[in-house]
Parts: sequence; structure tokens; C-alpha cells
Amino acid sequence: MISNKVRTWPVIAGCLMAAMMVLVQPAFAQGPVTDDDVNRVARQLYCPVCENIPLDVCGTQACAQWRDEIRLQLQAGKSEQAVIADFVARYGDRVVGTPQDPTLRGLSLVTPWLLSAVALSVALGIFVRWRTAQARSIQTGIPVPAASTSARSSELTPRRLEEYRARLEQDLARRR
Amino acid sequence: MDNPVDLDLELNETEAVPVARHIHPVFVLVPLAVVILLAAIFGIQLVRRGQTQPTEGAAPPFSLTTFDGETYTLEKLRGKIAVVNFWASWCGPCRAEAPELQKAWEKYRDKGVVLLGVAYTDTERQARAFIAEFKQTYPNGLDIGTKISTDYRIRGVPETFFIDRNGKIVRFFMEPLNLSMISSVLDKMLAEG
Amino acid sequence: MLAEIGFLAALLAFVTAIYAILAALYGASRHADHLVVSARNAAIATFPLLAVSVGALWIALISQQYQVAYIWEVSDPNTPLFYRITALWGSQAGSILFWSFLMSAFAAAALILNWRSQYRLMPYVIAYTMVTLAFFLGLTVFMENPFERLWIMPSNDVVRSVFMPANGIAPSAARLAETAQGLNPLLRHFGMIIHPPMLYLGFVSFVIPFAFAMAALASGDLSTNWIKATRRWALVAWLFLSLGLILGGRWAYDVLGWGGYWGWDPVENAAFLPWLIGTAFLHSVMIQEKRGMLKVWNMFLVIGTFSAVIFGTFATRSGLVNSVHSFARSSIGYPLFFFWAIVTVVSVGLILWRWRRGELRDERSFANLMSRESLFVLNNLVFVMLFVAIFWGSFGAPIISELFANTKITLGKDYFLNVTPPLFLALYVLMAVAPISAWGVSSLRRMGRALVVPFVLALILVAVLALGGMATPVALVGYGVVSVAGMVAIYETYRGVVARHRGLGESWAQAIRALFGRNRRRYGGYTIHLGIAVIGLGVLGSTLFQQETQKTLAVGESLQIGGYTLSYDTFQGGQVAEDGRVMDIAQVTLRRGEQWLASLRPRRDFYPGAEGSNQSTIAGAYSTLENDVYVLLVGWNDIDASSATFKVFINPLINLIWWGSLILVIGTCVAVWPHEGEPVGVDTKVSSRARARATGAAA
Repeated sequence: MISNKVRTWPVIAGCLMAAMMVLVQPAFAQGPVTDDDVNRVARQLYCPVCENIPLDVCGTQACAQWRDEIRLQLQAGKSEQAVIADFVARYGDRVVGTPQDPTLRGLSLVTPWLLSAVALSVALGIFVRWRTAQARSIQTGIPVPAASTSARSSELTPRRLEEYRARLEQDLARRR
Repeated sequence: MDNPVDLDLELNETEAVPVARHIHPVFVLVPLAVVILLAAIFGIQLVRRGQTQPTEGAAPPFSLTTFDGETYTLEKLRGKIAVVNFWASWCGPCRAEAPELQKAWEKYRDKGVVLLGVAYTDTERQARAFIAEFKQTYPNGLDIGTKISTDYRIRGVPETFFIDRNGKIVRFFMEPLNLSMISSVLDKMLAEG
Repeated sequence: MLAEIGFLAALLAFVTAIYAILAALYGASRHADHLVVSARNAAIATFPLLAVSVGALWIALISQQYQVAYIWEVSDPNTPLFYRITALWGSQAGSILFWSFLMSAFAAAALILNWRSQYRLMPYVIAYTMVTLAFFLGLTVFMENPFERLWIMPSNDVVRSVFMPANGIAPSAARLAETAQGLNPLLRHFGMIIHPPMLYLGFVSFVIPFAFAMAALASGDLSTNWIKATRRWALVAWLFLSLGLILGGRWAYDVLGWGGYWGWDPVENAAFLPWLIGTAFLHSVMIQEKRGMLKVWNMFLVIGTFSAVIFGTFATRSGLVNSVHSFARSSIGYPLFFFWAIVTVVSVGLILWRWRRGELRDERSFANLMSRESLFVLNNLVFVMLFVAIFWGSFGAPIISELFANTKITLGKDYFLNVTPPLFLALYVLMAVAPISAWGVSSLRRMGRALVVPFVLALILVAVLALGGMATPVALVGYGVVSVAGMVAIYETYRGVVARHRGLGESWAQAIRALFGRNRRRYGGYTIHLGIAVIGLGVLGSTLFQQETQKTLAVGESLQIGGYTLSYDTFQGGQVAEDGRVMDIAQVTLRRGEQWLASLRPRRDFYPGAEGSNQSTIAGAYSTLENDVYVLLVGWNDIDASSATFKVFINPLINLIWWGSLILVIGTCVAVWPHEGEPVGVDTKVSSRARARATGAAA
């Protein structure tokens, strides 16, 4: 189970709200299951019929039935985790937002960091290469090779220079 | 040379320019390989996603445990004609179809035809209530793990598959059935033996 | 008549585009200038042709010609005129034609504006823009034709075809009008009107930088010419894409009824991915302009942006992964896939070819880790990591697991909110530090000194926010970093204005105008950064401190949340609006303690006769800078509405997102605005020495 770091505060806020509501109403021994409790579980599940819509938002009848089922299970005393596990067992992995299978879950979370680490090391490698080329050019006095617009320009004979000049004149004439 | 504008060209100017160093082949092969690999993966996924319900050929194997506790598998149904109907209690057209299926069951159950109802993403309570409401007596069960629905690649409910004695799919319907439709298919299948 | 005109115009545009490709490439290889000019004229001609085509479709929409199948699908006699016009992009066939129209407009503009300054690149620019246009026109002409009409055959079948088939007769107009399907209810909202065109504009305008980059690779002119030509186009494209994303979020917030603005749905993310690479490109392009470095990388970025655009289109319309946008699924998935694959492979191949020949070498190398170049490289790196993370979550993991583990998984909000915050934080840190760094080398001391004032100002802002009740360590760090980034932008601008005021004796107003007028890129950029910082504050507040509750209230009863009281007053069911929808409205009163704040009317709209999603939930919201109190009507007692269920969200700071977006738009407009007298394309670099020589020679 992934610790929902970013979600901790809304959950605590939700509990505080539930506590406040208990204060405002006559208090029962354990308190009835509120819509918020159901939504807290439903938020972690997905609608079975529509694609990619969380269960607490979906308005279809199937989703309404699932939310009722969650309410019944919570009233029977099951913990949130148990309810989610039950839904996964009955309807498959596709109902949760993160895969339950630990290898799949690990794979999903670790891979982007792995790929980013690859990108980072490539960038560092190139940076290091630049620095050594820079250092070497300082040592030997040969300038670091500059860009060439065409490989052929590495031979700058007067004839080629003339060719370029002629082409430039042509371009300029066209622009006037 | 009297030029109106003397342009500083982007060319290499006066210093000795070494021959452009070629980069290592790996820098060419890896990016290309990555792109081609990505394209292959997306292509395969696209094909897979485009696959619709099986309408012919061998039926995907399944195992269904009914509310009465019995287990039906495709192998066990060899030698019988199987009609697999996917439904759900929240599905409107399924309600219209339910009495027709029950009538078909009563008509054909003694002729070597097995009608199976598979409840798609339904809660047990609602499914049982549905069965009780329409007084269905044919085997009905929940699709645990939504496995059967995934294997049969259904897109919604109701959908019905007619499977012959050798385990091959003969007909597929993506609409609610009525008795005459079921009869015409089953009569033909029974006649062919 | 209209359908035939529209179709023939589109067909003609298709043929013209193909001619333009052939003429341009042939003319380039044979140095036949007249062919290239002819190609250019053909390319520009696609714009009026497509204007005619789109115009025909619009006229058909407005004049209610239901025999045209597209009109029948997206409108009905009750549709108001405004939605009738916007129904042009209400469904796929019209969208694709509209897309092609926009692309032809951009291509024509690029060709006309840059013709003389980028002459050597032009043949290939024509070729690449026309290839893309021809592909989408091909989709229109052969697969998704909005001009097909409905005909009834003797066999009573209904056939769709542009031209009248033999023995076919037109269905009766009355019957057509009766059965017309009408616009998808979810599209009947202001945000949805602007969101597709903005997104299309953003996607389409990225074709221009792409075409110039490819032209540079194909022609061998690998100087900074192509970058100077396309920098403004890239900014404009970025602006539209940003607007498309923000408006999509706003629409989702207003209409979809789940209290949020970004669901991390794969299709949403698919539109965000090109934005990430595009932003990286906008930054690293500056390095190439100023220092001549990162040439290969910039090529990859530009190609990558366009590839991501096509991939996004492909993913949305092909059903590659599970998504809420599944309504857009169709058969054009395969052609889009092949187009994406071919474009990507060819362009990557071209870059690698030129790179291997040594034609894309850097002019300088990195001097120092604390230079602006290095910080920009870090910026790019973070964007790449964000791209990888979001791509993996939306497409990579689901596809890999479906293919190899045979399990369908969805990575939801939890994954994205675990993986992306550190990366976004890194971006804000860079945003705070890079503007005060210098090209080449910068001293830490100088940078430290420049940070002092912004730091103090940020501290004050964070204190204010903390006093407002949002004070967890995570939030404080987040607010702090984002605030520093925003304050740096403000402070640097302030310093620039002060320098002009004191140094040049300009008045404050003059100084501001001159500062922004003469350094549009820099101060436009700072304004954009400020906008991003404000958005960041809004996102932090609404994500970390959102409160939510749902309760069923009897008439007169109330619920409490976050210090607010909401009471259920009355219910007005069955109100029929002029477009035929049935509205069920609940009236609630919002109070804070004893003070009355607002009377809200959350409602549920039902569209009879609409296929598919025929309901939408419209929230009643009370918006202040501090937060939004957002009330949804979830359900009600069917018989007498004596009780109703409400879902209430409190979204702190959410309106900062919309205000920040406004700042972002203003900043981009400033950055894009051309200087008076400056040619829009830029010529080969004229050095100041040469300029002096020229004026000296003229004198």
C-alpha cells in the first residue's frame, strides 16, 4: 500500500470534519457510516463501466450499487483496506488506481526514476566530455572544433569562397 | 573588394579546422532503436485494442461458479450446446431480455442445451435480487475478477454467445434477445447435431 | 449544393497540397526556382480553398441542413445559434476539417512572412507543411468526410454519400429535423467552445517550427536561421497550447462535477506532453542563439514536440489506453499511428544523419556549472524527467502491463502526485535561480545577493498564507519555493525599471513602457514566470488543502464544512430551458458564521433525446481569492425533493490558477510582439562591425 503522502492532510481534515459532525449531532457509540466514509473508499476505486472515472464521482447506476456495497461492508465493521481488497478480489486489478500486485506496483513506480537516472547520467556524461575537451584545448592551444555548416567547408579554398560570395550576391539581389 | 555589406558568415573562418569527427555509431543506433521499439509496442497495442468479441473459432475457456455452488467449465460442457449470456442488474435492456431467457431455458433445457448467465461487475446482493425478481432457474454466477468478460472481450451488456458441442463459437449477439431469436439459432444448432 | 461545394473544395485542397510537395521537392533538387514559386503559390492556395470548405460546412450548420449527416449528428432544431456555430468541432469529421483549415492558415502565413528571409529553406518548409496537411486532408476526403449526406435507397437502407446515388432520394426534411441528434450536452459550455480550437491551434502551430527544423536538416543550412525564423512561431504555438490546457481544466472544473480541474487522464496528459517538450525547447533555444550550443538537442526537442503532438492526436482518437475521452475513439487510429511512426522515424533519422556527418557541432562548450547555460540544461533535464514520468504513467505502464502481464492497470492520481511534485519543485527552484545567473559564468555571491530581497518578500507571503490556516511543512516549503520564483521575476523587473528611472531620468510610466518595449523577450518571459508562480500557488493550495464532504439534507437542514454553513432551502424541479433541456435546481444558502455570503443554485441538466451522456452536473460556486466553495447536487428525493444530497468542496487558492493564466497570456503576448520596423524573419547575422563599415562606406 502506497503511503498517500500528499493525501494525508485531506484525510485528516476529513476525520476532523467527521469528528465535528459527531459533536454537532447526538453521539452514537460508533457513529453511522457517512457519505464521506464511503467516498473515502470509493475515491480509491474506479467505475467498472466507464473508463477512468473514480467511483466517488461516477453517476451511473452500477457505481451507485457499488457505493451501496461499500456502505454495507463498512457498516459491517470492515476496514477500508479490507473493503478495497474485497473489491479487487471480486472484480480484478482494474478497479484500483495502483496495481495491487507488488511486482507490478514496484515496476510502475520505479521505472520512471530509472529512465530519468539514465537521462541524468547521459547529460552528466556529455557535460564531463565537454569539460575535458575544454581543459584539453586550454592545454594544447588548439581551439575546440567549431561547428561547420557543411562538411565541405572544411576546405576553404579561394575558389569556394568566391562561390559562396557569388551565391550571397544572388540572394541579396533577390531580396532587393 | 568593394561590397556594400560585408557579412560575417557563419562559416569557419581563419583557424585550421580539423576534419569533423564522426560520432560513435551507438548514438545513432540507440535513438533509432528506441523509436522503432516504441512504434512496435504501440502498433501491437493498437491491434490488441481493436480486437472485438470472438465471433468464431474456439471459445475462450472459462470457469463459472454459480450461486448454487456448482462450477461450470467449457470442458465440462463438451457435447452440449452452451449459451453464455452476459448481463448486469443495472442494465435496462437486460431486464427486457431476462423473461425471454427464462422461457428459452424452460424450452430447451432437456434438449442438451445449457444456458449460463454471467453477471458482469455486479454485486452479489443486486444479482440475486435480479434473479429472484425474474424467477430465473438457469445457472447464474458472478464473474469473479471480471475474467470471463475480459476473455470474451465484451464491450457492454447484454451480450450472448452461442457455443456448439465442440466448444466453437457459432453465433454472437450484441443486443437483447427474445425467444424467437434464440429458438431460430438453437433449432438450427440442434438440427446440425 | 453546399455539401458538394464543400467536398470539392477539400478535395481540391488535397490535390493542391500534393502538387505543392512534388513541385517543391523537384524544384529544390533541380534548382528550378519557378517550380518552387509554383509550389509556394499552391501551398498558399490551400488556405482559401479550405476556407470555402469550412465556410460551406458552417453555412450548412447555421441553415440547418440536416440532410448533411454531420449536421444531423451534432445539432437539432433546438440548438441555439451560438452552439450551432461551435458545433463545427463538435464531432470528429468537422474537427479534422477544422484542423486542416487552421494548418493551411498557419502554413500560408509562415510562407508569406518568411519567404524572402529564409529562401533556401523554403522548398522543404513547403514540403513538410504540405505533407502534414495532405495527410489530414486525406483523412477528411477518404475516411471522415463531413459532407456526406443521408439518402434513402429503394431497399429502405440509409446510405451516406456526398453525391446522390442512383435511385437514392433525399429523406424528408421534417423527419430529419425530428430525429437529429443534437450537440453532446457536455459540449454546451463556454469552456468547451474554446478548448478544442485552442488546443488545435496549439497543436497545429507546432507544425511550423517542425517544418523549419526539418528544412534545415534536409537542406543542410544548419545555422541558427531556422531558429530565428521559428522562435516566434514556437512561442505562439506554446501560448495556444497553454490556453488549450488551461481552458480544458476550467471546463472540467465547471461542468464535469468532480471538483477538480486535472484528472491525470491519459488523454489530458497526452496534451500536456508536447507542452513540456515545447517549454524545454523555448528555453534551450536561447542557448543556441546566444552560445551556439545544444544544436542536436534542439533538433530533437522540436521534432519531439511535433511527434508528441501527433502522438497525442493518435492516442486520443485510437483508444490506445483506457481514458475518459473514449467518445473520441474511431477508425482513424491506424492511419494516425502510421503517420506518427513514419514522421518520427524519418525526422530522427535525418537528425542522426546530419549529426553523424559532423554538421551539428557546438560552437562553444560549457564554461561553468553555475552559468545560465548549465541551468538551462538542468531545466531541460527536469522537463525530460517529467515527460518520462508522465508518459510512463499514462501510456508506458498500462501498455506494458497489458501486453506482457496481461493485466489491465490504471495508474491514477496517486502515482502522478507521488512522482511529479519533486520535479515541479525543481523547476520552480531553477525558475528562481536562472534569471539571476549570467551567460558563461556567474558568481555565487552575486546570485546570492540578488536573491535576498525576493527571499524576504517570499517569506512575508508565506507567512500570510500560513496564517490563513495552511501550514504543513510540505505546504510551507512548496509555497516558499514558488513564491521566491515569483518574487525574483517581480524584483528583476523592478530593478530594471528603477535603473531606467534613475539612470536615464525617465518617469516611472515611461521607464516601464521602455523596459518592456525594448526587452520584450526578457520581461515578457519574467511576466510568464510570474504567471507560472501564481498558478503554482493555486495548484498547491487546491491540491494540498482541499476539503470535501457529502451529506443528505432535509429542507431547512444544514451542513458544516471548513467554517462555512450550507443550508438547503428549496428545490425547483423540471424547469425547461429554451434549448429543450430539463433543469433540476436546488437552492442553497452559504454562510460563514453569522454572515450571509451567497445563494447558490447547483443543478442537474438533463437533455432528452441526446445519445450517450445526456446529463451534466453544474455546480454552484462561491469564488473568492481565498477559495472556492463548490456545491454539487448529487441526488434528491424523487417524489417531493424533501431531502437532497449535496457534495461540497472547499478549494483553497484555486482562483489563483485562472488569474495566473491571465498573467501568463499577457506575458506571452509581450514576448511575441514584434519590434516596430523589425522584419519578421531575420536575415543572416550582420555584425556590428559590418554595419559600421556599411554606414561608413555610405557616408
